[in-house]
Amino acid sequence: MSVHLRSLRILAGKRALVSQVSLHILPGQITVLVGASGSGKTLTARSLLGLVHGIEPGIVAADLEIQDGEVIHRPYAAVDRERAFVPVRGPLIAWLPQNPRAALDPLQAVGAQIRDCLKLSGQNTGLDVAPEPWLERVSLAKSVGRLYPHQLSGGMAQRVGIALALARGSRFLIVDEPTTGLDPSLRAGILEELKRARDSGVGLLLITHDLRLVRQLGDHLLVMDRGCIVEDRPAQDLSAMQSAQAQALWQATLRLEARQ
Amino acid sequence: MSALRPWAGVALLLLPVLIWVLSLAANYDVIADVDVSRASLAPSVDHWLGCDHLGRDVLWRLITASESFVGPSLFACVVALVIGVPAGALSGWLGGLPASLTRFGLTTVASLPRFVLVLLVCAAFGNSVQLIALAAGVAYAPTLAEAIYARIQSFRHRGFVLAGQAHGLRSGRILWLHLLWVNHRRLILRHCVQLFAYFLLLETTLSYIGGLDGAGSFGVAQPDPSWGNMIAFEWREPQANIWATLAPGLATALVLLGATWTGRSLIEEQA
Amino acid sequence: MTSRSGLLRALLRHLGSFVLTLVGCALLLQLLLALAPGDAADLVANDPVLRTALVEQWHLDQPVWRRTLESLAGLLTGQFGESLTFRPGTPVSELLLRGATSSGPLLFGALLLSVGLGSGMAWLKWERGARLLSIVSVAPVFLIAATTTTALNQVAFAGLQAGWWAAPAWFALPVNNHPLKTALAIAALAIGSGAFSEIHQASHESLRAIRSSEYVDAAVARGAPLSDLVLRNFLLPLSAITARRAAFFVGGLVVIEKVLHVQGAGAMLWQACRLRDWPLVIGLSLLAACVVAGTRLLADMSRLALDPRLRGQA
Repeated sequence: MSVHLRSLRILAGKRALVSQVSLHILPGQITVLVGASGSGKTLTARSLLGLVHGIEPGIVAADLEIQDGEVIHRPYAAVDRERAFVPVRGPLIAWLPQNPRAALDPLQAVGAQIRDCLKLSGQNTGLDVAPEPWLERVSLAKSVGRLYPHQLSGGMAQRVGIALALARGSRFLIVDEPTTGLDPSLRAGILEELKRARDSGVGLLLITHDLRLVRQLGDHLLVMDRGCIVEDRPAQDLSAMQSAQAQALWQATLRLEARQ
Repeated sequence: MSALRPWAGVALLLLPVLIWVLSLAANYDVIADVDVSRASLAPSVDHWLGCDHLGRDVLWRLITASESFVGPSLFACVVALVIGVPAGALSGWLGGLPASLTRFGLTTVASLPRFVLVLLVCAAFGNSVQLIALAAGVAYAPTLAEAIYARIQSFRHRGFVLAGQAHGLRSGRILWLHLLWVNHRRLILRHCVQLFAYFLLLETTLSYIGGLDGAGSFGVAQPDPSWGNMIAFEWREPQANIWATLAPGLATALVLLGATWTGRSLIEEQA
Repeated sequence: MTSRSGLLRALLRHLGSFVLTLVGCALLLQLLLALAPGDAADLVANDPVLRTALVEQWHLDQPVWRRTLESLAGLLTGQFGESLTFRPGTPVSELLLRGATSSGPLLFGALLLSVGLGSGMAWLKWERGARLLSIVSVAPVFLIAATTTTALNQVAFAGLQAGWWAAPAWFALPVNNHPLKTALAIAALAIGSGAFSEIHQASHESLRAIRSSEYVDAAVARGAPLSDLVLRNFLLPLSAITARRAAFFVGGLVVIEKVLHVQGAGAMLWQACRLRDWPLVIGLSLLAACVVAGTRLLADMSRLALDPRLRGQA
């Protein structure tokens, strides 16, 4: 089971926001997509779910192939894309947007949102739609289930987002900048949750501008620059990166670490 | 089509103002212009829109009627601005007890429907267009103040305001120049356009009902022309020249449409 | 602060502001009428002796504070004294009741119809129909009502002459009373003078903001059904929109009742204003303020029930 995105092109007018991007997500692996702000990371991630809207243009070309055992989904090849994405959104791929709190329904308590996810996933057709075990799985107290999104801190909201994805039972998880704005201890906690998700067999696409994450939990590394993939390699031995942009990013990270 | 709408809106809105200027310049005496021999005359070269059942030229009445709402509605805008802008801006900026009191007063006024308030003022102080305009301006002020209050309050603690204060800019300068003029002049202008349209609506409605009601009622009364009382005056005439009712009705609807389009184009993206 | 005491505080604050608003309205009305240069006696009497008698009989010489207290007491007891010139001697409360029973259906019918139409068309994205109705909506209420009645009468008359039908019961609108007239009044009020276009525009904009929000995207990405989520979040702006329009419709009642000859509170207010029947004017205006402030209170309450963010802080 795997996700393959090939030759993605997104245009805004005549300007290419993303061009010729290809990537793979494999189960039980973390693929890290690194790039500076505005390099097209988030657009790439959204295109995996058919959620590129809000910007005027659209996807000009994309070949998304999701293997689910024997079945192969190719939603961009379908005539009715919205319908073709139905089996993809949720059961196969889940998405944690950049701002985890804004991604939660502001009017519903956390527990109820997890319960909705459980009902959706259908894995609990019986009685067991209790949200508590899922909260505990992401190291949150049971009482968090009674809180509303505006009462959560950034780290808690991020954990709730992960709990929702786990409860939905998605095979793949796209995580957009999960550690932005968190202090080091919260950061470590979130990374721990992501690792645990990976170890349970979920395939992750982690989007970040921080190369240090790659060393901590990456299996595969992609570096994006101005809409193109400039580096595509295993996440070991980062000093041997080929492209100049990726090298520059790496050197900057090293300097930053040395100063700290 | 939709790209032209703002311009069409502004054009339709400026039309009555132009007509008003024309009417003031021409100073045509529509009241003396009665000639029964041309009663209910159909449109002709001499009388482009024909005559009403008293033989009065419809076009001249249509033009002169602009005097009964353009000037007063501009006056109403001034009244609403003078009350609404400081009330909204200061209560949004200062907060605390004065703001609560101001807003309470405005809510109280807003709890009486505008039309009812105008009617009350007319009943109490007599029926004149200037008074209606004053009442309309006062009645509209809470809407303007509330809109400004909400925006100033949300801008109050934005980075650029705090940065300005940190740089030592005077609060007054930040509030009046940066917040109101730079950031919210479109909002204020939109409310002025809406009030202009509202006053036209109010005046034609009052004059129409007053026209049906007969003497001693409200609004602009015959023989003074108003688009509202022109419609009422001709409505029940069996042999009427149809343009005598159609023209003021259309004129009202077109100016209101222009105001709607202009107002829409002034809605900015919420920051 | 716990959520419960926050909720209680917010409830009390809204109730308090409702009561205070009515007190303020009573004071405002009495001040306005006290400053008025004329009174009801001017319309009746040229004779100074009769005038003095009337002034005494009608309590026209009382100070403002006393009248304000009396009208506030009237709000509690429903007694606003007797009508002076509209129906001399009839208790105002009786007239208010009579007016409210015939105007209430019009008001709430129009409110329901316009909010239903405006938000429904925005919800279903009926762009074309909405654009058409928005154009109609620009026309003033009185113009829509007058045009429609004339057109209906013309059609009925033409059919009568051609021998297609006997004179229908509603023939000669708006003089005859008929359910059709009520329906016409509700429709004209709900659409005319920009009512429909403003409600539709506001609904359309809040729906667009909700539909392009992160949480809706996230729900789409989870494959969750959207209608519940969007509806829940749309009810908040919708209740505010509804409350804002209530005052507008109360004012519109006066217009539609005068134009269509409905014997309701609105037409009564117009007539009472003409006749300077101050007790009746006060009673009717306070009734209007009650409806407006009451709708606002209702909207605030429902927002409080829906939105946890409002319950937390107070």
